[in-house]
Amino acid sequence: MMFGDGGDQSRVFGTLADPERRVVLYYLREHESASLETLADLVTGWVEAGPGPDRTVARDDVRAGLHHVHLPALDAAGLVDYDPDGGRVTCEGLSRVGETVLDAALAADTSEAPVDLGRLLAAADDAGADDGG
Amino acid sequence: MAADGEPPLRALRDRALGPPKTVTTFGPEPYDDLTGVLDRFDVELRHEPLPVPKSSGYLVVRRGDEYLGAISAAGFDDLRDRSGAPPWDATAAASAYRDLVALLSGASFEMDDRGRMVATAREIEDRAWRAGRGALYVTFQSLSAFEEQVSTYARLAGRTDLSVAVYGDPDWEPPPIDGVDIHRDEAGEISDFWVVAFDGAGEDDDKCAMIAEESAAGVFTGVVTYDPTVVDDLTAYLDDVAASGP
Repeated sequence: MMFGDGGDQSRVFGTLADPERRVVLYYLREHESASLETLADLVTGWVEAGPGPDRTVARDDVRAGLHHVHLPALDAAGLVDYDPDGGRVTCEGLSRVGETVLDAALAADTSEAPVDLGRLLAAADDAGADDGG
Repeated sequence: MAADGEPPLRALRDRALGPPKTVTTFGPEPYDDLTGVLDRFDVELRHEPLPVPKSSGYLVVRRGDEYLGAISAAGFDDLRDRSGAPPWDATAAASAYRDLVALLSGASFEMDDRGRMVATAREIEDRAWRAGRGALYVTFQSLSAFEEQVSTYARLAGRTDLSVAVYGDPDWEPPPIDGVDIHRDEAGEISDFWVVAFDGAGEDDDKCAMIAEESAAGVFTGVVTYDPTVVDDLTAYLDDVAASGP
């Protein structure tokens, strides 16, 4: 099922709790599909030089984490389709709840402001209501 | 070590060239004003749209399948306005331009901007300064060009255990400087080249060099290398030149 159409916010938040997964979705909203290698560069660069505190990370570890943990989790949540054999990820689009949550998460990830979780949940609720959920 | 008739420094420069590199910028739109910097290097430039504020973007450098490193958009200003500040300048030591030079080692560059050449050479001098020992080699087209750098190298040699070897066509007589040996390049073997090399004080990981040739008036074609075998051969060659000089 498409994520969020039942307003299953806790599952959205659970799935998006890892920053790697959020970054992948920020990217896929612009590209629809990507290779595992490109996503590994994207996420490693984000951790090392992107928004937020920079830290050093081994790209091999990032790639392994995406392949074994994060992309399967996003797939299981219905947010992306991951083909582990071909190393290809596609995202056909998010539900309105998913979009709303991701917009809020992006704003939080790219600013100094702390995340206002209550407001985020309220916004997701509204979006869920709009979806008829 | 070189083919017949080919300048040894050119052969070393060509040996220093590595596999092709790719620079990918991630951000809301291409960082067009960076292109002027990145275009000077023989690298493939790509842009991948990412819906973040422009100031939250970054670039990633890779060589084939190998990820080399990233530079944040916060450092992009430094790429546009390179710093030629001396190695002991703390802000210069942290400059993104030097990070880029290090990431793009092995990629040839062509520059007609003297200030950016100085900034590139500073990456090598900065490593020598931080090591604080070993030997630093610097060539000038002529020793008169060394004149304005005398205080920089006097300080490099004076505040550290570094020894500094300076080469140039002898059109000016430098004053004696502790720790700095002047070699008059009477034969003109190296006057077409701008070389800065640090022998790493014996540590392979610290060995680095810039080897650039003046390919046209004011235009330098060169490379920065961290290949210890190239740096070893380069410093051995410069030692030979010094030993054969007057």
